Amino acid sequence: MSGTRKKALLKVIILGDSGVGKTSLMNQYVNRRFSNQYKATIGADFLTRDVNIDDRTVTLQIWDTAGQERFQSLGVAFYRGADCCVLAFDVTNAASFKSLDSWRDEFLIQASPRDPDHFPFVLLGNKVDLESQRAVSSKRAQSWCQTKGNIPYYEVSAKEALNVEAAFLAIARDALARESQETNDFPEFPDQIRLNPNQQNQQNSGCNC
Amino acid sequence: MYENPGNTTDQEKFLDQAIRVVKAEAFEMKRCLDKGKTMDALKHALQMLNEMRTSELSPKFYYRLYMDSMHELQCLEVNLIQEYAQEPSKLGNLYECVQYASAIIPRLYLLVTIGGVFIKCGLGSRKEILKDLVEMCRGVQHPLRGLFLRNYLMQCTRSVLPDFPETEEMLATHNNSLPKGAQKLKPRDGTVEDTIDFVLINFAEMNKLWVRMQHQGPSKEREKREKDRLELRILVGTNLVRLAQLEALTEEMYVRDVLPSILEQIVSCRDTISQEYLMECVIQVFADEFHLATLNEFLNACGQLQQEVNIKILLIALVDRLALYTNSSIEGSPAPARMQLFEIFSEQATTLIKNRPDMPMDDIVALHVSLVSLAVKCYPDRLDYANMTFFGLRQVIEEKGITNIEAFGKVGRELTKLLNIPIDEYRNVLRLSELPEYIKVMNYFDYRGQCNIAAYMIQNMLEEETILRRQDDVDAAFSLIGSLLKDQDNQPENSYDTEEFTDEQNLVARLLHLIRADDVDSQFLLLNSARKVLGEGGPHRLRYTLPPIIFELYRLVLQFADMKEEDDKWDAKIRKMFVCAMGTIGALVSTAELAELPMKLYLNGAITADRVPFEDNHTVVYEFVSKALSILEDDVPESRDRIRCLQLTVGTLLKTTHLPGENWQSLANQAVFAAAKMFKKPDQVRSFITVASLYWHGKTIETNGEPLKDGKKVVDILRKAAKTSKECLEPLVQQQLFIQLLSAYTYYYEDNCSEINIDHIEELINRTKDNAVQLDISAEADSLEKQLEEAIRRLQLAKISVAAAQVVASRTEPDLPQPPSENEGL
Repeated sequence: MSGTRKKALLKVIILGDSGVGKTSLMNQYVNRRFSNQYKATIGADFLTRDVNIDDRTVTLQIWDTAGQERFQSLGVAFYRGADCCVLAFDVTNAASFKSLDSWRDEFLIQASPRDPDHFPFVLLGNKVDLESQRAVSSKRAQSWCQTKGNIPYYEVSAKEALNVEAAFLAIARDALARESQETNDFPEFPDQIRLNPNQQNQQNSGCNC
Repeated sequence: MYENPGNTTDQEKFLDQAIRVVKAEAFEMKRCLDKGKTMDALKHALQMLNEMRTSELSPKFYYRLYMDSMHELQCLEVNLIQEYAQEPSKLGNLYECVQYASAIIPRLYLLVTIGGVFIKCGLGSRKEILKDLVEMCRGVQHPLRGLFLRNYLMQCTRSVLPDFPETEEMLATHNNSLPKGAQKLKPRDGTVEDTIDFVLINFAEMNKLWVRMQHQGPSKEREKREKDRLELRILVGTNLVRLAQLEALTEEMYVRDVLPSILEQIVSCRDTISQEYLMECVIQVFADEFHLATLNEFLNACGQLQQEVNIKILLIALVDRLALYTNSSIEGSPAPARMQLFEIFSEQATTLIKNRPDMPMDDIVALHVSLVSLAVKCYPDRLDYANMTFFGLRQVIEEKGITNIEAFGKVGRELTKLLNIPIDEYRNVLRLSELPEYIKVMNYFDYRGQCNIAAYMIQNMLEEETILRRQDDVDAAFSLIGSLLKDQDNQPENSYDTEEFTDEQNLVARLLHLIRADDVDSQFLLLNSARKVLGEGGPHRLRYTLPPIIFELYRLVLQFADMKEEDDKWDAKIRKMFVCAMGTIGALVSTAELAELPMKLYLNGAITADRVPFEDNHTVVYEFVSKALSILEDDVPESRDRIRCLQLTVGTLLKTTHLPGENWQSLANQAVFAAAKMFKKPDQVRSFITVASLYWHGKTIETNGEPLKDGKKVVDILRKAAKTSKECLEPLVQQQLFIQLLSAYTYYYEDNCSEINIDHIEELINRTKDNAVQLDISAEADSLEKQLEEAIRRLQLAKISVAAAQVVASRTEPDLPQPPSENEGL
């Protein structure tokens, strides 16, 4: 997939417990907006934003996902093809930090990237504006990151737009660097089997829709 | 419906095949894009999208195929935008061209994609294109494929939906606020109202497809179809998310247009699965303020849903959400609607229950759980709200004629939750007495249920250290835990033998220690009145509940002990406390028919009385010890217990110092008598050895704190012991007794008991040695042999030290070890 002309599309997935601020983080980054109201997300949805990295324009496709399992009734097929996985937790909520392991494991199992040990993850600790209610220290988060192969960690606040820009820029850089290494996590080159597409579909029952 | 449901492996196979085609075509598509051959790329895209026409895949597998295809379409879109952003006019060709694709699924996916590119490139009327697209999608009426296509439409158009009313000024402000590199907005047509229409149409269409799905295919596969439908629900719900995400959607619009339209769709579809899910979606995705503004409308709609819809879940979800919200917004200005929130819910719940006579009782109780939770958490000062809710529930229970609700049944579990809420939230069980309806509801429980709640209350009181300070407090607490205090009509027969009964009575016992009045007089009154109530508990409860009262009385005596100066009736009051304690212990003997426990309590009382120098305290000591002795005499049949009880009595007597000699003698004589009356000879011997210490270490008022050291009496008793041990016929046992006696003699000899004749001891040693030779070889004999050696060695040492002491007769006596018996105080 050479050709510098082609614009890169990078898929980024945000995962984390319900209420840690996944939607807010995405909204802050893409739309520069923040709302205090809590609205649950259902299923998975994305927004895109173009960023310039070293004179190259990259389209970041940021997937915001439902933290509540019951809102993922169709499964997590959207994990597939991700270039980077952002794990988010709420620094004022220790339980959301404890869930990180299971989010990470779940992603690796479901997305099954080719090289799981080196798949790019980024950890975001959100709501640092509520410093007085903090329940997870920066040190604790950092040491978790170390045990997971030095995942980069950012303390952010979607509410105050603190560090959000920098974090996503780093995420884009990470994902892009990975793509240019040509070690695609999800092999894109098709097998050499050419199927005759007509053969399959003509046999379907009458309806042509 | 997919025609061949197959199993998972089959599905995997189909999916694999389809994805392989998608990849191959996507690869070709991208190559064409790289080469600038857009038309060819579109042809490959159409080929790729052909796979979406499949009927073989179940929703989850189709979703995976959809995700992969959509990813490729995104690449196409990014490329097309880059390609045509400069000369958008050429886009028209593409749009035309794609229209000629023969199959509708690929055609519409591509049209949606290109429509999105049109809008993003600023071509054509945004409003018209969106309308066009949403109408065209009507062409697909197959539920599964239609739902996914429309989901794609929603996803593709998300970022271009008209959201705020765009004036040029606003646009400029918006663009300036965007981060560097973000796409700037150009002035475009359309308003948020257009978006609302667009999404609402899509929502209605998707819901119809979704509802219709259940009617397609044979009825025997209905269950499977329902499962599929449940999986597909998020696609329909996404429309509501999209509406909720609109920045320009005001509360007014929501109240006037959006919610009525959504509710109409939900109510009119008359489908249980759809109604249940979509109502919950509305609750979850829209902001709290919107809910507060539309409570009545929403709850009204709830009343119009199908009978099978689980309204309970919906109401609970809403109440819980708003409870959380109103609770957290307390710091700020309270929302005006907050005031009525409870009333509205309460009223709606009542109507709902009336209109749904088939509503299961557990659901009704669960509804009240939410209401009470709302009342207690958001209106902590409005006890009437909570009380009203309990009253409402009681009425329903009464109407339905329900009694004796099983503790662990469906209803019982909900009822437990309900009754626990105020306990947990108030953190002060006494406040429950301000909810007169609470206890009435609790009384509908069966025996176990009532006990469980009562036990939970006590645990809470212990954790929170809820002090019972006044008579009202004690009365309130006792009436709440009444089921634990005396026999109940609905109590099962074997209940006394259960572990729960023991645990609960122990809790009651612990609760009694929370009785703590501000002054001694009131405390005495509280204990007295508590005792009166507990006294009705019957023998099985008394054994747990009376001892803490007695201990509290003793504690009170000690607390009062150094307040003599402050109270001129001090002596009389203390005496009264002991009288009360004595009466209470008496109940343990007469009603509970216990022996050892009351005996210990008497002895404990004797020691307590001996420590406090009130007038004639020795009469109390005497009375308590003599009561203990008479229990020993009459009510302790088991030898082993008798020995232990005698030891306790001797220990107690050794601790008292205030008995006049005459009284003391009479008690000591009783003890010797009790020793002589032991059933087995060896027990007599050991008991003699024990009581002998009384005459050596005992103290009376006359001895002024000095031990009696009545050597003659000690020797007398030891002689009796020796005589009795000789009558013992088992050689091993006899040998044991001899050695014990030898130790005792040595002990007193060493302690300068002059009455002890050393020849007498020598004779005993000889006898013991002779005995040893005759013993059969055994481990026990071996061990006795060693003990004997040790006893003799000790005697030798004693002789040396006594001789040395006689030499330095002027020396004061060193501290002595305790006698070798097990006499200990309580």
